Amino acid sequence: MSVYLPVAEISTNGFLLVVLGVMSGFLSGLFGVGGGFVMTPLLVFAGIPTDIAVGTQSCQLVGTTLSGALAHWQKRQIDIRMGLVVIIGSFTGTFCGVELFKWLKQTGALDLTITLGYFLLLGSIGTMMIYESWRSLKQKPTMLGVTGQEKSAHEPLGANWPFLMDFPASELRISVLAPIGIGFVCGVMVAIFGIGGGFILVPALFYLLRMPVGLVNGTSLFKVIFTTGFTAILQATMTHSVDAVLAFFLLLGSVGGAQLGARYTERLRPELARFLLAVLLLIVAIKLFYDLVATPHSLFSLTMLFP
Amino acid sequence: MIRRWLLLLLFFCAAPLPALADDLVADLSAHVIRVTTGFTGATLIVFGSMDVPADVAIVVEGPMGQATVRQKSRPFGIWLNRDSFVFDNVPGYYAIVSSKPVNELVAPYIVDANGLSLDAIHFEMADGADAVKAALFRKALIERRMARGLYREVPNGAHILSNRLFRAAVPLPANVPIGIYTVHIYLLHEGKVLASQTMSMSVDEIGFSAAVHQAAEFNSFFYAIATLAMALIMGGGSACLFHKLGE
Repeated sequence: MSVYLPVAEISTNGFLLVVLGVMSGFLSGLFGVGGGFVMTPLLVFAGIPTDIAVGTQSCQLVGTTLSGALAHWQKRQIDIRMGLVVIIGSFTGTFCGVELFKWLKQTGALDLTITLGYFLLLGSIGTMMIYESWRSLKQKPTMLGVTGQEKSAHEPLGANWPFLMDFPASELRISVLAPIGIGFVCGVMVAIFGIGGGFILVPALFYLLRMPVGLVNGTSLFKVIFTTGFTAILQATMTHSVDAVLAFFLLLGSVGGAQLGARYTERLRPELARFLLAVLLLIVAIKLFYDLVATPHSLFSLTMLFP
Repeated sequence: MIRRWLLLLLFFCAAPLPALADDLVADLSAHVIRVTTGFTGATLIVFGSMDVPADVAIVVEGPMGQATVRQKSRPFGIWLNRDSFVFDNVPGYYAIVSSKPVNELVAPYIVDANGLSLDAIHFEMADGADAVKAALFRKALIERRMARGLYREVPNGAHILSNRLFRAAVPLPANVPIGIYTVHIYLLHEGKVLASQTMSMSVDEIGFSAAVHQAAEFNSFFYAIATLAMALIMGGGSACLFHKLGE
């Protein structure tokens, strides 16, 4: 089924878009991430211009993560207070990140920073997670579906810092600076790499703040709704790179996929879920590395602007 | 007397002009190509009649824009965009459809003067640009555009019927840019341009597609809110639906 995308000004297969949507939605619901880091390269591969792919993704992720977050909400798997504190940090980070972006662009180091930085980010988070989750997978073969119970022996980040705050849902008493700081770092990444920040937030909430594993995905999705919503408005008004028809077809698949993913996550051991997410991050990192090193098909690229 | 002189003058002025209007009568199958939600590309038919036996070459070009060509190189072992070149007045689409390969019909200078091959397209560039670099990037621009089916040469794409009628099919792919196009029709015979005619046509978004594009460009805040609302309703709706199904 052929669909013409009015903003991208190209025609593409609508059925393919729905299938891509289901895939990314499933990943989103399952792992508590937006899934943009998988989806954007796939859309570009399907012939959609990169700027339209990134811009439209942000809009589509709002619906997908809302769908996933509501599924978690029904099971009381979101720490709203933690989410809101992270969001405050994240917005501050995004504003600083935009300034950093401008500065990098002036110095001419932007391309290098984005490609190398994104690769290092995905690669390092993926490697750390794969190492940790593989160890816990081997160490304690726990029962299926034991969520909300698993807590680490280490102290959470910010337990001894000033400005302590209670997070009753997570049964944590930590400094408000810790989640704000994590949100800030995610926000900077959002501005520089154009991602939702879920795949940074999920391991940060779990490893650094020691949040109960059952609350991590829902809280991350809750945060990503707001960051991507804000990004979507910026993209639509400043760069005109949101294609509503493309968003519609992606959403058609992804909102259902997110529900399935959020339901399936209970049947998956948390260590295994982290292991699979880590594998996915590493696959994307390897693909990025390959693109950086392998001799490209054509050394030239072309962008055209029509007045 | 003066009248006669004027007539004579007119005769001498008019004589070298190759195009006598009656030699060539042509039209297009459509002056507006409509791009709707189901658009998968179109074929523009250029047809007409000629007074004398000749060959035809048709050039379709449009809309004009600015092209930035970037070249990747490998400074630290990784491929990055390092060098770039900007061309102005670049047609987004360019096709030459002819009844025979153009270089068999006319001399190279006529090909160049009338843009009858992709190598003859004239792009504007900044004053004092490096000519060697410009040639390299120009070649890359044409090659990239050809790879997307937006620049093409179709020798033998025009058909001549009984030396009097011609008909040519110009393929417009699904990714054809929106805008105003110019169609040039040339009658070529014995190495000369016998007659030519120029027409315009446009590729326009129609209906829903046009409304979406208009809103995205000119009403972007409203568009942003509407698109977000769509995302939220679809996300929320599916959560409700699955919740009900689960019960």
